[in-house]
Amino acid sequence: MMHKVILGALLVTAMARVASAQDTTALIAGDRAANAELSKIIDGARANGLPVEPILAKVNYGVLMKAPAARIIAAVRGTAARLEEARAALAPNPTNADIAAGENALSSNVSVKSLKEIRGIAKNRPMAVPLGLLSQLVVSGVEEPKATKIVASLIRNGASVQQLAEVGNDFSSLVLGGLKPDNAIDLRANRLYAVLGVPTGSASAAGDQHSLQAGPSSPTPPGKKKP
Amino acid sequence: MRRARLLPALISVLASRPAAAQWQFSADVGASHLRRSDIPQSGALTLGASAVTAGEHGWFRSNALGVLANADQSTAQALFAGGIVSSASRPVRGELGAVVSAFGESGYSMTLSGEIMPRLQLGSASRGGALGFGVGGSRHATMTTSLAHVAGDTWLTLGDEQFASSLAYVKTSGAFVGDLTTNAKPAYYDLTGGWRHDRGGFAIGASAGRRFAVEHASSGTWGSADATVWVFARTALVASIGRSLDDPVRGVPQTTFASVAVRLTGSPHEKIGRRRVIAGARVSVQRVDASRCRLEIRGVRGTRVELMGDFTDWSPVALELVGDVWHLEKAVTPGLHRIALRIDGGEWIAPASIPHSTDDLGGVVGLITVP
Repeated sequence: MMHKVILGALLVTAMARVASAQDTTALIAGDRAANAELSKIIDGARANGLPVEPILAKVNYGVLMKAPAARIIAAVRGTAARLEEARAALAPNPTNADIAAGENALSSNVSVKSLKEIRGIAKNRPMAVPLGLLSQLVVSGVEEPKATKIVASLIRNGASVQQLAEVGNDFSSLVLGGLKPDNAIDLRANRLYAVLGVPTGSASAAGDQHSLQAGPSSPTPPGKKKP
Repeated sequence: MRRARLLPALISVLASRPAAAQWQFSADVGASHLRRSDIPQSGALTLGASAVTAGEHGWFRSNALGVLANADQSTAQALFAGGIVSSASRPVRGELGAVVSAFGESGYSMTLSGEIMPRLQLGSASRGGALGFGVGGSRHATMTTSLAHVAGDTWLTLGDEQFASSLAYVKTSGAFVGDLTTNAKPAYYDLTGGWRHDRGGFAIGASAGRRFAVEHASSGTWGSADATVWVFARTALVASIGRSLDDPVRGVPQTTFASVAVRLTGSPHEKIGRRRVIAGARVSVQRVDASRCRLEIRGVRGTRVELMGDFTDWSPVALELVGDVWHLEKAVTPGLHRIALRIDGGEWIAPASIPHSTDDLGGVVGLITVP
């Protein structure tokens, strides 16, 4: 009798679930209940005067990551709550860009206290770049009080938005080189202090105004004010 | 592939998120230890492959598996399944599905089978149910049988956990395995339940079922368990064990098996790719004017570099190479943004030179501040 090796049953997928391409008219394709829930959250945020772009971006990202609908909804709820929290922390009269930046910072584990502190330093100037830098430092492991203090100090000393962005975007290379995050930011900030001049407390109001406006900017040589 | 593995695969397809239409390929190479009731235990080399694609109004899946014990002991199976679905955005959807399968073993005629099944689906990708009625037939040598099939199934996804269940009634006009007496017309109910956990680079699943014989069939239980560990973005180790019952429709006998295999996929496993960073890639950004900024990537070796981020709606954008610098100019608002890079079509990963974080949806992305 011939010995036979028997494999087993075929995989039958007649009951296989259909997968759909993203429906541009629906936030999450094929999930009516989830879309209803998301729409409720978005409409609520809009009615409350909050920017909805961060919420939509979160949904897009969740769909891209193929996260379960329940998880996307939970993440979106979190985003909406942080937007509300950021608006309160950055009062009075924060712009939508400030609120979105604040939400980004809160989602990076920056505290409300730090948001308020940076708002107090920056006064009525745009917050997006300083808060972006603060978020990067905290996420990288720099102790939050130290990160907040460094960002506040750089603002006071007239760092431009370009300079602030560069600090956040390249200090990680120092960490990769073996420095601890706290030491890496000290080193990187000190390099910028050298460019800005010796820290002497708050810069002039005019200098601060130009430093934190969006637009092309160049480092201010030591001893000279920006035009 | 065995009936006992039906539900784990069923779960992964049932509970999968809606996806843009794209092909996914995989191949398994491994070894199995098999046993059937009337033959001794034996070991064998196994080769498997699958291809899956899905679009807004349809899907297609094919699987093939070959087992080679020696030159005159081998089996091969293949399955092709597809479906056309009405609008996916509605809570109630119609589907017309079809399956064609083939099973052959050395020294015996091949068994061919086919089935068409219209179904009604309710719910969503994360939770729902379906009910269908199918008809079909099988052919083995000179013998042809017909079948009727009623099936209902449900699925549920909770976080990283997926659950599915099904109840099916099958009635055939003849059998190629099991009860081979003249005029045997097997009829039975199959009740199945399964679970799958999939997180990070590890997945595990289990399923079990019971057959309730109505006539000319044997009652029994079956079950299987499997574990997958992704060691690289496109390579996984798969171990499985289980027991399947006779399949009167496709002519496949009862089997007990244990197997290990290396799985190779055409696309990188997302959850592995998310944890990787590109060492050496340095990112810088300069504002060009009030709306546009210029991103530059240095230290990357490749022929094609793509970037995606919150400011591209998470759609890939190709960078241009000038000298040894890859760059992109785009309208981006000031502040913190999330990005990922892909080199030569590989996995999406975060550049090591900028801070990166794991977000509340499980992704690892780079954080960049745009001035």
